[in-house]
Amino acid sequence: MTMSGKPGDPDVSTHSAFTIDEQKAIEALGQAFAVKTVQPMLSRGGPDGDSLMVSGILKEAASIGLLAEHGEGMSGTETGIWGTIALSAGPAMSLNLLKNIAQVCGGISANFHASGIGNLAAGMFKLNVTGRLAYVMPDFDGLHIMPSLNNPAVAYKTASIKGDYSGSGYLIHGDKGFLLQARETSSYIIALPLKTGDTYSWGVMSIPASDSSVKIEAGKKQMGIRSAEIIYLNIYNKNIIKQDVILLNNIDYILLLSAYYLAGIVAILSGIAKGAVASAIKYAGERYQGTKLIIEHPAVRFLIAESETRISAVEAMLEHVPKQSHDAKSMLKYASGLKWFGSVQCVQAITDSLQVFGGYGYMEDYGMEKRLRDGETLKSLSGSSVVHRHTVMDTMEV
Amino acid sequence: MKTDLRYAVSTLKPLGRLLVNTDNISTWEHDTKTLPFSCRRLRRKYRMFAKKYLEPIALEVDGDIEHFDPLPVLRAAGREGLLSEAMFRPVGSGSLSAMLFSGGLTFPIALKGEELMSACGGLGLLILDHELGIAPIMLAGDLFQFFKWLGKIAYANLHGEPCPVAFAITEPSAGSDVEETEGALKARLMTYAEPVEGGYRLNGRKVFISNGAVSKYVTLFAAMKGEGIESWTCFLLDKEMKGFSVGRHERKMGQRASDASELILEDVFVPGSRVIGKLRGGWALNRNVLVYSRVGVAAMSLGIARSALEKTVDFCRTHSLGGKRLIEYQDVQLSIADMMIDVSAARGMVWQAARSTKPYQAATAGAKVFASDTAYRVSNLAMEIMGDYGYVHEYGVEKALRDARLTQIYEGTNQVNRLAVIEWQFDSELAQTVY
Ligand SMILES: Cc1cc2nc3c(=O)[nH]c(=O)nc-3n(C[C@H](O)[C@H](O)[C@H](O)COP(=O)(O)OP(=O)(O)OC[C@H]3O[C@@H](n4cnc5c(N)ncnc54)[C@H](O)[C@@H]3O)c2cc1C
Repeated sequence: MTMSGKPGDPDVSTHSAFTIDEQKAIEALGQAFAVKTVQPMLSRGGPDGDSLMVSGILKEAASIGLLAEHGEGMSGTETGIWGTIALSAGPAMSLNLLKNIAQVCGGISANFHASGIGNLAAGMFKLNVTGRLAYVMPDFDGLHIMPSLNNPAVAYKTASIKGDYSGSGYLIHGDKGFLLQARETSSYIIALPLKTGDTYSWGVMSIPASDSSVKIEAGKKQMGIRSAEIIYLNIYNKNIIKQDVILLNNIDYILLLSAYYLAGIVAILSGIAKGAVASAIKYAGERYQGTKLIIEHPAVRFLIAESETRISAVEAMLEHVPKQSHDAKSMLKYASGLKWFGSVQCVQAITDSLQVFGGYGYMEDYGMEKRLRDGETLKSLSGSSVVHRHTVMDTMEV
Repeated sequence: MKTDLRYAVSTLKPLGRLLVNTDNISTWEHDTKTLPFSCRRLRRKYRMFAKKYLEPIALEVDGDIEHFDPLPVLRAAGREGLLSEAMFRPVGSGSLSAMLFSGGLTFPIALKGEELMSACGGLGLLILDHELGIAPIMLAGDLFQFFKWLGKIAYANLHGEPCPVAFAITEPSAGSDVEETEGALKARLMTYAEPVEGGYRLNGRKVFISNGAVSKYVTLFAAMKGEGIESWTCFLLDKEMKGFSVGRHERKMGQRASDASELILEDVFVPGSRVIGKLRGGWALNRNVLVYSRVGVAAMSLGIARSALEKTVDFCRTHSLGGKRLIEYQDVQLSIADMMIDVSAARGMVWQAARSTKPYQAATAGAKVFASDTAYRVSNLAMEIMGDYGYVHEYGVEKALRDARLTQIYEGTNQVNRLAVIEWQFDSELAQTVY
């Protein structure tokens, strides 16, 4: 992608990538955090852990710089998960961290992801906003998203949130369902089509969650990732002054954010699947049926081996994500393919790992059913395979 | 120019029209029409019961299991004759003609299994598990036991006093081993019976027993003290018996309306008259019960698959995207067609297995594997089509998926059931060919 530095182009910082040692240290920090801070939450309360502990976990993660909140002096803004350093260093570190945390809890990892992408968007567009953010991707009424993304006039017709020029600024209105966000999100970064007379453009802005024009509905009972929130966001005629709206010269950065967002979901899924396989191997090495450990049965060995292979394939695809960043469109094509294909592989690995536990896998106490619920939810979140297969096709040259 | 098939048929000569099916009806009606009259009636009756009593409360019960009282549902099922069909009229409510004309003992159960589970996996299991509970008495009880127990149980159920029977083979260290031949010999059993004057004293533990808490009776299998599975014996236990208690209730992923509980036996005295079938004949009896019950589980899986399909179709008929109803999109149609084909294939297999006069292991175990895998696959497709709505409880397909997942585990995991298919055919088409 070319960075021209013109107004409306995002800020891409000049930080150099991490050294291998730094990478290892950050990943170790993620793992240690997952085991020491997240794990105890799961051993209390219901099948999804003690939800009252989530807030504290996120606070602690923010304080040690893992959870990216936005603002000067906040430790995760630059180097947390989807810290702004990802703009130059690429997504690999964030994807790895999401995966590591998801091995313990997919829901907590989803909080990191949502807040991180919000932070990255704010950094990318140099928005004057602080706190825990969520990025609101453009959303259209249709199975094909590319025609809308390619053309703001088309996008304007069917976008769920849009803006109209009002003299002093833009009047923003619309709603977005099924928005993944971290608990206690303080502002929304919204990418949307804008209309000024007969011309259309893409723009980005932020709106505080506490604004009177913002209505949030949460609390629909969701299958999984229950420690994160999936909400319905309604914005009723919010006037944003011109200076606070970033007009974009092209949609490359919207595509890039969407691609990172989708890749992050798959990274979480692969982490959940990895955790499931690790538990399955451990269990199979302890559980006897008759005089045999069940790990000796080919039926069980194959369940585990196939799961491991599926995860390896997804991990290989994830590692390939940074290599796509030369071109935003192929990046989105790749990420859309990764989302549907990777989700299917990961969920199959999770369900096969659950099968290794027999009846115990179906019971809440063993944590496998939670993994399956989390996996299934992420598989359906932000575009099912139907939408993403279309996106892959729509981004291919005919 | 009109190009659709129905129009094309209408242009045929009268004789030609007679040879082509032009009924504009659902697959359910098509399939029902293929059945003998008595089975058609039964299928409609089960469907009506499911729609009236189960469907309206399915989501609420699943979402708030702590406050669910299963007795009203069981009472309704009992009064409508759904818990006494093992006995024919006038003692029970079983339809002899349905059984005779369909060709198989288990066919009415297959019809019931599909219909009840299509309304709710958990409530369906709550009612259907009773068939499994009484199966040992049906298959091995002597005439006295047959009339005494099945008659008494049928009477209570019909008269508004729910009397469900549970079935208990699984133990903490013996799950698959009590479901398959090889493992059984070395099964780590911990529930034992000791002969004492007038009967037996039982000690031990059973786990994961469906309806373990709500049932009044349990057909429970125990080995003789100091012996292995070859001494297994089936006992009919009364929940009121001294020393017999319910331990932990499992918190499970789906099919939540039916409890899965631990049963604890501490010096429980069981009179000799409560031995079902032969003393030490329990293993053989269990194997035969499983041959019958697996076709039931296959039908139950089919019901869950159908529920996922129906919910998706409902959603796609009523939701629009880009100004078009979802059902009008070709990509959605392709997936729904796959789901319909899968469900029909599973029904074909289940009905085939259930219709045989004497069900055999390869057919019933095979149907169980195929139908339960179908239920899981179809629920997954349902979630895919519904996208974000898929994981929201109120739309019901995530529940179908959670319910479906259990069918791949109980009544023997699908791995063990695959081995059962091989075991049964090993000495026929799988036998070594002699040239
Ligand atoms: C909700 C629920 C309700 C249930 N209801 C009842 C009930 O009413 N009554 C009752 O008696 N039981 C009931 N069960 C028990 C159920 O039948 C067992 O859970 C099931 O047979 C598997 O046994 P297990 O859980 O001990 O798993 P295990 O036997 O420990 O199996 C673990 C894994 O090892 C594999 N495996 C084991 N042995 C072999 C082998 N020989 N070859 C290849 N693979 C093998 C299995 O396929 C599985 O993947 C219920 C279970 C559940 C979850």
